[in-house]
Amino acid sequence: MAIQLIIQLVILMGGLIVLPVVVGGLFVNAFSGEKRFREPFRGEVVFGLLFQWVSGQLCLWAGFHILCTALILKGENFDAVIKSYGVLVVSLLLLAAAGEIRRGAVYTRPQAHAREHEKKKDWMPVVLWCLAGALLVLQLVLAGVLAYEEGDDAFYVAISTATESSDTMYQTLAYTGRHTSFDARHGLAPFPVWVAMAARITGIRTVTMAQIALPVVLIGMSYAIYYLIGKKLFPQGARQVPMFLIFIECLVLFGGYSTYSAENFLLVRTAQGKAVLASIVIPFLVLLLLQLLEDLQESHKIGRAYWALLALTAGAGCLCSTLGNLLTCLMLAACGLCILVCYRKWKELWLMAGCCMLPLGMIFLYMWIK
Amino acid sequence: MANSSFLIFGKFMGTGLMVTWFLVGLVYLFLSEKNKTRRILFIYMPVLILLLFFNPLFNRIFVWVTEEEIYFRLCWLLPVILVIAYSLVRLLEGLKGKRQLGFGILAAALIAVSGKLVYSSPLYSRAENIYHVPDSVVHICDAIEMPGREVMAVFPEEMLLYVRQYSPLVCMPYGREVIMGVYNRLNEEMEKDVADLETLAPLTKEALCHYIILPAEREILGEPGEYDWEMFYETDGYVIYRDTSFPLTY
Repeated sequence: MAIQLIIQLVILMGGLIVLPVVVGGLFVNAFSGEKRFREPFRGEVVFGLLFQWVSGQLCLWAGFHILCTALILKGENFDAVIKSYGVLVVSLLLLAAAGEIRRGAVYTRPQAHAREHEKKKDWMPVVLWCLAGALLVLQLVLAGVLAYEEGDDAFYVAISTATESSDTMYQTLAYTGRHTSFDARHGLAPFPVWVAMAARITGIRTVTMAQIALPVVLIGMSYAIYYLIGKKLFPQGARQVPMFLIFIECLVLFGGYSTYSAENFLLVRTAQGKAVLASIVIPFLVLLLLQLLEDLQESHKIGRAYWALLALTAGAGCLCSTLGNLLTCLMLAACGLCILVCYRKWKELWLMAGCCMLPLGMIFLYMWIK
Repeated sequence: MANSSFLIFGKFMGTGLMVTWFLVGLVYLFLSEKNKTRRILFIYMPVLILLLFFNPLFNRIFVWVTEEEIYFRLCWLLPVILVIAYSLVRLLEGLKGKRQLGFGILAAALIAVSGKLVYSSPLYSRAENIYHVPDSVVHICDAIEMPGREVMAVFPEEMLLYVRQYSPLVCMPYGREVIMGVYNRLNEEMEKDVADLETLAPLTKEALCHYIILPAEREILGEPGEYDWEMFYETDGYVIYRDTSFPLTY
């Protein structure tokens, strides 16, 4: 029993942490012209790895979404999704490996300013990081120890459980188990199928995957994104980044002021697609847009990897929720409008519109099916 | 329509203070932030999104395409916690030593007072197992599950949310929809203080229920045997009846 659990946890770590980190290498090393994505690795190994982890996972989600939705509409079974996803994963791993070999390792050289911080021996950042870490650990532990009576879990977790068990997708009513016709609103955003796949591959029972394993990983991923944003906002700030994270953690912990807040969704409905949209996809879009605006401000060249990642992030939003299609498009549209007014740049506007192709396609598909 | 936007935004605001701090943060950044990129991301974009949110035409199109009850999710595009945290750190940057520490603690306390601890919700409880499902549901499902085939069972309301999360092999004649207000005659009979088998049993048979789960303390009117019900198992304060008129063969 203990050995089985260890094996399951190793597979879980491999699938949800190691695999995305490796795939995320596509956005760090694979494009020779884009030093920007390699920069973090020169001085900030943690930043680089976290960036790879999140971008890799979003890439995998976007790929899963395209495959899974196509197979659902084709009436294929769950096994077909797993097999085709396996092909996708192997292809991405080969691409990432090829990119890695082509670029060579650029990971480990610390930057001069990083060393300077060490020399100053300021104890405050250490205290702040310990506090930020303690708050994170508290949330991860409580995600496992506390259970929440969440009505929507009766739908989403039941869909995952039924998918994993019956090998069919969106053909049974979640609440009762009776057969039903295709439900476009939920079927076009098959995040529960991804949960079922994670359960099938690891061998962990679906309900445990949805209620404990995934919340721990996804809460960690959400804070990883806030860390990345903090590093972007305060690049030289040894104290500012942990301060920023502590405030973010406090705001999330005390986000129960409304059941509609994204913070509440992060802690209460962590493994539901809409929570992933609000707490992972949208914050990561903020990070990407921050980078885009900085590059425009400094007239840097924006490479293909950036646009690919932006498009894949929007695609990952489609997996999470049908509304994710609209929200990601709106966010990019709002940013595009600001870019047009502030920088008079048309090219970027068209490229941003190009990144919305998948969500826009999904909106039209939804309306057509509906 | 505009009114409904305000109502929905009011619900999103909840107690209101946190969103107020967000708006205060917007004003502070508008007055103090010099970096153009951050002005775009933390001021102009949120304002654009707010204008869109309160636009009656957009509201009408949104409701036409989707549904009104998810309109609040548009507010997720507002970087509420990012603006508050960024503004606070910017304020703290200008302070030194004990003042910085004191203001930091004060700001964290203000967040705690303005918001509500998510874990203080009465819907939270200590998990009874690694499934986050009540033990009673686990034990009952384990008892009635038959590998390789589905069984139909009717449960009391307090179990409806959990049964199909735990077991895909247990089907139910009704589920969470009855908690959300959808009327179901069988559910009405199941929840009565006294289970009158003369009324209840025909309804469970009509729903093809192999099993009927009732609280052990529930008073039963009638003789179960007369309706082909036999006591199958008792666990965690619930009695499971098996309706033998429906065979469980493969």
